Amino acid sequence: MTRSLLPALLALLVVPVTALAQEAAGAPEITGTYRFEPTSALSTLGIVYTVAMVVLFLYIGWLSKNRVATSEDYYAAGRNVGGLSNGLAMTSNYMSLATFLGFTALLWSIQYFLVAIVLSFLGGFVMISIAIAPSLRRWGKFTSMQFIGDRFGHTAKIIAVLCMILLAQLYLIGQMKGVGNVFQVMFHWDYTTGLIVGGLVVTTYVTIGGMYGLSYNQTAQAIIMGIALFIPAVIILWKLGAGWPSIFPPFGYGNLVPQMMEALPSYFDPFTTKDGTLPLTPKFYTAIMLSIAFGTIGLPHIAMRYFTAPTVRAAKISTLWGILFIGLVFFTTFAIGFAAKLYTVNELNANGLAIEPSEADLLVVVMSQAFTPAWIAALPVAGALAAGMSTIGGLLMVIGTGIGNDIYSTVVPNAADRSRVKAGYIFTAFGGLVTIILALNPPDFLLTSVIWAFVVASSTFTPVLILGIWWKGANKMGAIAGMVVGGFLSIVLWWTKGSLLGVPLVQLGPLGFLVTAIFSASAAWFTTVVVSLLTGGEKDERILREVDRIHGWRDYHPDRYNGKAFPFACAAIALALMIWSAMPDPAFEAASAAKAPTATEVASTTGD
Amino acid sequence: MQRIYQRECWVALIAFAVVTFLTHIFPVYFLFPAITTFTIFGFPAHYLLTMVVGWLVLMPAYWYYIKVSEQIDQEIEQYEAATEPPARTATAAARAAGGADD
Repeated sequence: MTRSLLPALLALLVVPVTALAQEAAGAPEITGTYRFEPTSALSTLGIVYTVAMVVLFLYIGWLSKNRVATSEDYYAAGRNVGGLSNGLAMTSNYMSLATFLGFTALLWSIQYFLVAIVLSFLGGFVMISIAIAPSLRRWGKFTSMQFIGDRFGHTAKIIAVLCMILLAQLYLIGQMKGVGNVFQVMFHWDYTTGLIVGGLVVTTYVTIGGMYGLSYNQTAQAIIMGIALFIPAVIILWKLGAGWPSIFPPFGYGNLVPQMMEALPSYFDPFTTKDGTLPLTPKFYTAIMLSIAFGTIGLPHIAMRYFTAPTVRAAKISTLWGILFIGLVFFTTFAIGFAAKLYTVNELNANGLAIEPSEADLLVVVMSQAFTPAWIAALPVAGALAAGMSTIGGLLMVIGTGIGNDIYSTVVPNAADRSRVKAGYIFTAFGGLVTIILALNPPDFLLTSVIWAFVVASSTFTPVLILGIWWKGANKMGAIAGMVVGGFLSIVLWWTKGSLLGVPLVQLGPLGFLVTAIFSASAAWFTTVVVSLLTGGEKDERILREVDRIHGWRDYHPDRYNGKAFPFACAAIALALMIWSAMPDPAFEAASAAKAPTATEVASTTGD
Repeated sequence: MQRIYQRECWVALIAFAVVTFLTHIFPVYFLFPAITTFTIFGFPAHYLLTMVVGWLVLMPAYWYYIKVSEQIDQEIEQYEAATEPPARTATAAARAAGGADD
């Protein structure tokens, strides 16, 4: 088993390190591989920080238990989380282990292209608060699945919960595995022991503290992540010669750019990726937007944070804080990734050493150990665990709420509030235990998971949520058809790398199946609109009144949110995108024919 | 009513489009590839611009959206308070004074 934290993504994107050496002018022949070994001081201090952090998380979870009296307390933290705290919690909820360690590795592998991916993440995060969050908050429930159930009926809710469980597991397995790997690499624990310890800690504090415990823990975790990235980044950039700008790492490495341009000219190229070997086109960037940004809109564990805000305004202020902190974390990882790439090319490659792709996941820690004292170098270890646990916590909470509240309330419609809280405890713990068991020996397909989760969300939740909020004509049949078609295509096109029954539907070259939402999500939008129109639209006045209410209106007017321009425009754009997706792209055809390995071929090189 | 409703829709649509553009400006470099030949503060212009526009410009733009959307929410509240039956008007007015958005 490799130590890869983002094995799938790296497997798809990684470049043979020897190619890097060849690109570096005059670089010597690669004669060996660099193996990261933490020093004993780093391991010891890492354990100390981790134990302190775990005690803090459990203590916060235990304290929060006392605040849980009703289902609203358990599932939505009493709708009482303030703007700054919620902004921090949103940050750590969104920043996973893949962000904390994986982004540096991805920057090392795909360079500027990661900027595109990352800003799409940030864009999606803001789009939630414009397109769906205010209305969902006014709706007054706990999850977006519950909204889908109330708006489109029980069948739609059950499909939504099933989609949620799929994408939550796509996300969770990788995170759990990453936590186990950090324990394994940093502390020389057995992987299984690390996985069970880390998994049980997060399952325990989320289960006992509910959304209160999760919210306060995520706030603390965001602060830990920020400190754990920012301080080492300042020192690393300073020691590499970035000068005084290094005090603000996100933009603190301008002085080092000439060195990078000399060592790897393609690093900043927006028209290619993978060290200049693969072209990027406007179509690819459009596909990124549909997969990542629109996928973010549909992620239920991100939307859930908005339900904890006391008012719509507070939710929006939280988003503003979130933009600030998410940007800080994103662009600080860029700074470390930049430094790591420079260090790899100028120092390691120059000495005949290459970094194995699985080692690239640890570049934050590698750089910290190389440039900072042990007490600082151990901070990213704690930060990485905090990042993993915060996202795991958010996903466990959404599983607990989805099954414990949404499904349970369907099966037992008259259940007492106390029973719903109990169901939350049971199913949150159940979700955690199942995920730990799956992560003991995870199926391969679940490892190629994080971006896939975005594609599934983009193709199932996003069209139904946006159309359900902004168009009264969207009805049960349209929503069900849209989710089924989108969910089916997002799974099939991933497996077949863009083809359905031999017909290529996503013509985006060797990286195309990362962004299959350009077809699957478009198909979901198109289907939802067309089926809703063909089946006569929504007729139930109770639901139509609710659509007015979630926009702030207390009276009902049938013409509001009931025009034809919006759904027709959505369907037309979706159809155009599907056709564009299927059209051959000469730039990618040439690149594919020349050299591109398949995902399976590359994955096999990592041993996963 | 119709004017407020249309404004709400347009504000949401424009804000959505602006956020999409700010965080996905990459196609601009295909239209104006000359941008990629400049440097700003030592960084290639397109690299720095992508991060600055997608993050630092996004924050004030979103802050402005909050202000405008708040104003619309208040207008909806005021409209509702003015058109509701008298028995409920006091409650609506109190709501509007206490926090218009929820």
